[in-house]
Amino acid sequence: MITEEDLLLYHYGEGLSAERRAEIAAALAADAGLRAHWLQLLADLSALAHTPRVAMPATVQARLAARLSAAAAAELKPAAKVARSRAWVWPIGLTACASLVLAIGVSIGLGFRDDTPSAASTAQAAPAADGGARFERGLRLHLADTELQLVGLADAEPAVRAALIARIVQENRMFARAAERAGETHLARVLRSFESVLIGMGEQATDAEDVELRRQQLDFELGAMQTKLASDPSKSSLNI
Amino acid sequence: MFAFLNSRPAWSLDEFQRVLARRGERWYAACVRITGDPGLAEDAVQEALLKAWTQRDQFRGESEIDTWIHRIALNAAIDQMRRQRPGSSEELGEDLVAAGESPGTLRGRIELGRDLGRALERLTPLERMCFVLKHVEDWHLDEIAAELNNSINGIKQALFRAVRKLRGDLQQWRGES
Repeated sequence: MITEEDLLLYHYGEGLSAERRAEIAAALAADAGLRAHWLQLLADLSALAHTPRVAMPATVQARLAARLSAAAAAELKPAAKVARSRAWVWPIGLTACASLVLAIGVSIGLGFRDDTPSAASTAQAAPAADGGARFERGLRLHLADTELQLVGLADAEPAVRAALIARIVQENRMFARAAERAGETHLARVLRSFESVLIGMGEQATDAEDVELRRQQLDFELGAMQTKLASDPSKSSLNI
Repeated sequence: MFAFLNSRPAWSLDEFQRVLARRGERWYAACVRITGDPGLAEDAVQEALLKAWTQRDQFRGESEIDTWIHRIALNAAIDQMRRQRPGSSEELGEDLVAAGESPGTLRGRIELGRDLGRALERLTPLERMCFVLKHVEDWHLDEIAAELNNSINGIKQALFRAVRKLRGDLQQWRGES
């Protein structure tokens, strides 16, 4: 007797002995009913293998790109010495700047995650708490990565610094576009406003006084944002 | 452009970012199908991506990176499932619906939007992983068994159950009660 399981393994081309395969092949050739059953199985399997397309959200793409950039920049750390005597404000200013951008980016990403519950859903208190915890975890990770890569750049050539700025700006644009697509126009506007600051820091890298001024401006906004995050992480994407 | 990466000239960050942009969705989709959870899928892809970055000097071409990351991401997705439900792979075969959770709320599922997506979600984790790895990813039975730390016979049985359930759903959609 030939079972459906036999036919399935026959279709796989594995999991059966050579003798059993030969028996099934002979039976399929001789038995029209079995052959019809076999063809129906193949048709069903073909239909079932066409799983629905799963699109990757832009925010996921942006987060993955950011993590890859962070990993690349982190490789600089062992080779770099923290030379604060020369342009000491540069890494600090960049840290504040990039941390701000990434922190907002993370909050947006989490705000838009498919499994993040809506604030209106009181029935989903546990998932909401989970989303908040995930936010804090993600934020800490991104801040640590960013600090690492920027400290490593203290001794880097201007071209390398410019490359990092370009990368941050690029990621910032992705987050801004994602925010816009999700209807978070205010967030998109805030993100875009940081682009000019970022670019300015890159251009003014040798002017310590200017960098320090920009750092203070960003530091203030970073502090305000972190206070909001600490008070209510789950609503971070709405209140920045 | 990225002079600081010149110690590994074969692959620059920009080139890797381009591979991610072109192929990332496929890796992510495969992991979502395995886990049924977009968050776990993202973690799995990230893990594979960063591993690939650290070993980038081994890759000769984009297709090699693609194949490697795809495979590692699937493995990572399976590991994520294990971490979600610690224990042997046999436990992954438990019927989650029977554990008291409704299919719609289980583990922050995403709405895949079609009947087949929902049907896949109703499979047990072991059945879903076996089905996806065999019928979508085209793995061999022994590869699946090794990856899931199960016997080949156990994998066959999970596949039989998965196909039986899914064909039952298929008949319902066709109106063949």
